[in-house]
Amino acid sequence: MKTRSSDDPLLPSWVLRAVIVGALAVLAGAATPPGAALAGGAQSFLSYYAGVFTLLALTAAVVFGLLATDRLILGIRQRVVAQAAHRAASVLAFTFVVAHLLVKVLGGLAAPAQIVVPAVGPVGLGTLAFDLLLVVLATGALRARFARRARPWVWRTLHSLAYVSWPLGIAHGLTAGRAAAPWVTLSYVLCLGAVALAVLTRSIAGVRPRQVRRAGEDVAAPAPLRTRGTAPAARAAGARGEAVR
Amino acid sequence: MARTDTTHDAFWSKPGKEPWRAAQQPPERRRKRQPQRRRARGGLGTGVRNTDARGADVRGTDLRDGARPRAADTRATRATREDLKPLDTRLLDARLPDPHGSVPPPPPAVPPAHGARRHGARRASRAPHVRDRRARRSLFGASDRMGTGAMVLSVVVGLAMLAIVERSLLGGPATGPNRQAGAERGLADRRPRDGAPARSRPSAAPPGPAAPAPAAPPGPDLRRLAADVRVATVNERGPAARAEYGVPSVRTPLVTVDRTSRDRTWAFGTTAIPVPAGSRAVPQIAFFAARWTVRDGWRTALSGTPAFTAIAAGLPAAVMSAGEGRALVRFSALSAGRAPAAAAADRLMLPWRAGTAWAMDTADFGRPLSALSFSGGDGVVRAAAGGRLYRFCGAGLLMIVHDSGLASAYDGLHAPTALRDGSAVGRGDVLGRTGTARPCGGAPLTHAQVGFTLRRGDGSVPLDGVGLGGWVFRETGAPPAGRAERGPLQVLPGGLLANLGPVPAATAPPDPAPTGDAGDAGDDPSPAPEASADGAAAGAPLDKEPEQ
Repeated sequence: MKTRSSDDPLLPSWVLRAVIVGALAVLAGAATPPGAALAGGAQSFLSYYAGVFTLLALTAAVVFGLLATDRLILGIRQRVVAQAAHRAASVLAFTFVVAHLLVKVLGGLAAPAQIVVPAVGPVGLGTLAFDLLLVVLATGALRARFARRARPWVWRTLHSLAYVSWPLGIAHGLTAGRAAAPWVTLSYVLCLGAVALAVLTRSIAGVRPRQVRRAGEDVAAPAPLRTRGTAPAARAAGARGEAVR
Repeated sequence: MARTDTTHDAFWSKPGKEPWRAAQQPPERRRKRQPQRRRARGGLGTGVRNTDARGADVRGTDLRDGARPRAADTRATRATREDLKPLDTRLLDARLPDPHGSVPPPPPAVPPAHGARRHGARRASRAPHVRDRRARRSLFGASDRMGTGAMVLSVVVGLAMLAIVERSLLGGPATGPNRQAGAERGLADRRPRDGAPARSRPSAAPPGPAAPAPAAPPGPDLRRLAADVRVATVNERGPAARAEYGVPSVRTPLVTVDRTSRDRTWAFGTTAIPVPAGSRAVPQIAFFAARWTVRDGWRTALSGTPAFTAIAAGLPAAVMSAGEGRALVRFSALSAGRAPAAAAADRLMLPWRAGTAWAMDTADFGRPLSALSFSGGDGVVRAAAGGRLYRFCGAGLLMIVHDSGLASAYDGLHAPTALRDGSAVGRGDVLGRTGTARPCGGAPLTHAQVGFTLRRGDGSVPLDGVGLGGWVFRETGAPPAGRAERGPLQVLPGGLLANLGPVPAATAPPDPAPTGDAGDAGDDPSPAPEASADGAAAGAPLDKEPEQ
């Protein structure tokens, strides 16, 4: 079974080289007339769609992140997949929000200060959402550190800023720029409602404190089922789990 | 082998790979584990056993009875026995060859039993494991694929951003159709402009239209652009302006460069030929679009020409939205013949509050219905129909380009609206107040009024036959005189005209009968008041349904 260990490097080494080569090729190509035309096309496309993609990815990230915490409906495997989808969507959201900001600033439609400094107005909503998103992404990236320091509640509190950032982002998307079609507005409102419902469910169902299991304990639980052993065997399995850990 | 890095890994680690679990299992199954078999083959001489196991397939059936005692060995006792050992010995046991298997005397008899039992056991108990593994692999494959896809997409977007940033840093005259051009009307300078010309308005400074820049600068130069636009204006609109203004030569056009792309290779603005002080003619105005290239320098085009359509269609989205570009192209391409139909399609009303009556005057030069002027009422001038707002001659002359391409112009406004150029306005939106200002020049006015004209790309549209606010305007008579008609009602110049709102002109079909007998009464102003009074009375009930 090939699963990536967390000790393995995140990317194979050739990927970095390929990216560098690609970047050089792009830098050279963009200086040529057809490359400039392509870059212009990419810019107008991103200027139009990067914000939309950000909102879509952010919505997916919130929904999958919420799904990954669900213990009522989903099994463990679905939750693992949901977590992977959550991570992928978060990466995409960050990519597209950076593209969105860059394109808008380069296009002269926003001042550079507006990226960080919120102001009153539709653009300011987006700025606020982006600031919060930065916090959320930072906590997401440093999740392991928070977990090891045994302060999961800090992490959970900070990470749940996403529930503020995401609606702000949607409000920004619906108020700034071009007017949204009714079905777009309706979909976002439905999404917001569904997520609100899920959060409510989670907060109610999650009152019972979670048992934080360590590695060995996790294997201990299903042990009696698999081996169909006797009670002492199960108990010993638990003890062995401790030893292995 | 045990990985303790994350909880999930522990969840998913294969139970068979745990040494202690391997030790816990029956010996015959233990031996089937791949790594153990390899170790055994290397170290402790179980090669014989392996060959025996291979041979078991041949002899397995008749020797199965010998296996029974081993299979009957209860797992519970073995488990307890195993549990009593310390962990280290258990681990050791896992590597050693099966102690139970080697002790019983008939070595050739046992392995076939192993083989027979093995197959059954694998089929029975390992099938779910295989399924699990497959499911797990596909699950992790899906997770990995998602992560990889996100990373790849991010890299692609990052490379695109690299190209975009490079292009915007290089700047200059790129050859792309839609470069990284930023709107100059960024958020920073998005401020209302009331009265004073806010943008570069170099019209007052350079004296002559043909004043060229000293040398071609390496990049686009907006002063050079303004000079080029002035030349183009004089060339294209000069003859018409001289004829209408009644002067042998025209003054320097007023050029306003309204927007440029960030690299200043695209530009859009307005130009106007000022009216001489002694004339009350309609000013000649036009939009211009310009593009700068290294080879050709500035290429400018005034509205009403095919070149304008070409350049306006290519304006980057950051300078002009696609919808605005299309509206301007329609404006530029509108032909004189389609103008009345366009007015009907736009459902133009008179430029004040529907349901009230203002005094109407026709032009006192040229054709009487080349322009109208309105005064009175509350003095608040309103948009005749929805469209996009532009300003000329600084700010005093407003023009709204309607959806059909026809435009209505409002001259001499006092306190004009502070909306930006290109802003969308709706029918009835306040544009300003009547005034005596002459932003585009011309004879001074004696009382506050608004000059109203209809425009298309290359000039003004006569109001003859055009429906406005429920009235149809007609020119009749030998010395032509203008009037407004609605069925039997007529309003002559100087009379009060009620704005019935955006009533389609079709409700008041042009009736030749009143036109004929009103023709001789045209120069007699006395019937005007009662006619207009009728108009106002008729307007009251009518304006209810089309009120915007």
